[in-house]
Amino acid sequence: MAYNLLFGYTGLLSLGHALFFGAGMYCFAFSLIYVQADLWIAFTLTLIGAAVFSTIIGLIAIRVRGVYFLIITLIISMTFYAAALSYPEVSGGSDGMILRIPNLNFFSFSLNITDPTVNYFLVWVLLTISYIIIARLITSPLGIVLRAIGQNEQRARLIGYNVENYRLLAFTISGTFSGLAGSMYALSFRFAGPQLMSVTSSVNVLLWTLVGGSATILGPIVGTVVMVLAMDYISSETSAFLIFVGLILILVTKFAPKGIVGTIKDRLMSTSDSHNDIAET
Amino acid sequence: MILQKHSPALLHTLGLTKKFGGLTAVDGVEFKLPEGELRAVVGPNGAGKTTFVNLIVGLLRSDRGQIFFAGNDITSKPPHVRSRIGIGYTFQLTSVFPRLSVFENVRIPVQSRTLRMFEYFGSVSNDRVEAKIKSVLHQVGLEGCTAAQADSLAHGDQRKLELAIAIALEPRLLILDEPTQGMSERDVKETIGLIRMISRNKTILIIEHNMDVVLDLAERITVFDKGRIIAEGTSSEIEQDQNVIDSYLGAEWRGR
Repeated sequence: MAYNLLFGYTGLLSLGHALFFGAGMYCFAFSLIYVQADLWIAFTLTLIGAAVFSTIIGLIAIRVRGVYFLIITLIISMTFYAAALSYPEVSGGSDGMILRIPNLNFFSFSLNITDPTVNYFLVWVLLTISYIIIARLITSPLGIVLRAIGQNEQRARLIGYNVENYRLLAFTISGTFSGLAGSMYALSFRFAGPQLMSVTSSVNVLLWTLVGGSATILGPIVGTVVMVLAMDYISSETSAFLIFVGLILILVTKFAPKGIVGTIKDRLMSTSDSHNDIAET
Repeated sequence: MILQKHSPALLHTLGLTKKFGGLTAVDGVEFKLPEGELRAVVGPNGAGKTTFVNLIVGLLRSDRGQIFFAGNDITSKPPHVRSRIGIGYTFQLTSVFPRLSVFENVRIPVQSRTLRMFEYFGSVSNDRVEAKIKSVLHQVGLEGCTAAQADSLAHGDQRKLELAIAIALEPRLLILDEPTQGMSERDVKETIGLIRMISRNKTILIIEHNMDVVLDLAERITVFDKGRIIAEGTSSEIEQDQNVIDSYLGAEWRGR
């Protein structure tokens, strides 16, 4: 979802999203291990860390666009992936870090959130909150401006918008949410490791968004669910499952370039249009 | 440059020059446009008219020369700043937001002029903004298709939307680059009427190929050829000018 804000609406194709996911994950893990923070502080530090980090990376990356933006985000991402591997004494290297998650204290309540049920609900609550915030953002005046910039940057500039600032804002918001997702991962699996920061994960995010439908709010969620289930199923049948993933992608781009949600939306709209036509005549 | 501060011209260019490789598209142009005037810029294809206005709005950077707007040197200002201080522009080739609705297309410039920073995170429903959008759409005659996606509009309606976006900016100087290009005769008439109405309280610079439109509309005309201004004056002065007849209007113009 966070990715879709940047790519689907603002038109920035980034291959570095795993970077922010990883930043959030490590930020969360470091807060627990090195700061011995309680969960509230760990989450706060994660949010601040991810926001600051994505702003800094954004300042570098948004200067260029198109394929250059893609390459820059990819390079920065790979650099940090390599860094996570190269300093095992800090980051646990390729083995990652096993986390001991403290209880979540809320006044006198103390909640063991490693309990699968609690954890499951917590993830759902956060997903719902993120969904509401991003949905709200996309339909806000800011969201419309971001869409406008994605569709016609020059026009937006001549209307008086400082396009670079808006790109940076989209980048930061998107990076922060990805960071939050990273901390959720660390929390659920009690683990922080570099595998999820790899280029493959970034490409996966892009694929899921494309399959579900970019520039739709539900698209990334649908795409992720469909692709993860499909990959799980296919990989249990054959080890050459990546071929099928490629096949799905080709079919989607060929027959439903707007993704699953986008295509359904178009169908619905065209039927309601034809109803209107009949009503008018 | 102290003198320029007191110049009554809203727009003033000094020695403005732009080269593309070996071609000098705009060649040392001195141009003055007083506030309140409706001025047409004409000239043959490749005379440098569009390059000239692109330098003014900031889409291109000049190689030499200066641009003053309301007495301030804006030569090195980026386009979004020029837009904010009051220069509005309509593109020669329609440049709207293709996958936004007509209403949203006009919302973008209205927001840019009415919302403060924090309001961008708030709700989209804002009576002030919506009233303004409606009035602009009514002005250009697009009130009937506010929900349509911009790229589904007919060419003439897209031109009107282009104009609507610029009007919604409430610029001090409105630059129109061939606003009637490709329009049907009826739409051309409507658009001319609209431009005339807007010009009552705005400064307008219009680039136009259609000489009938120009002679009908403009108070004064500036003629470009090969990147230079070759004549400037009222329509009757321009029609008589031998230089202009030779390079642009052609011999048969005399006979009309």
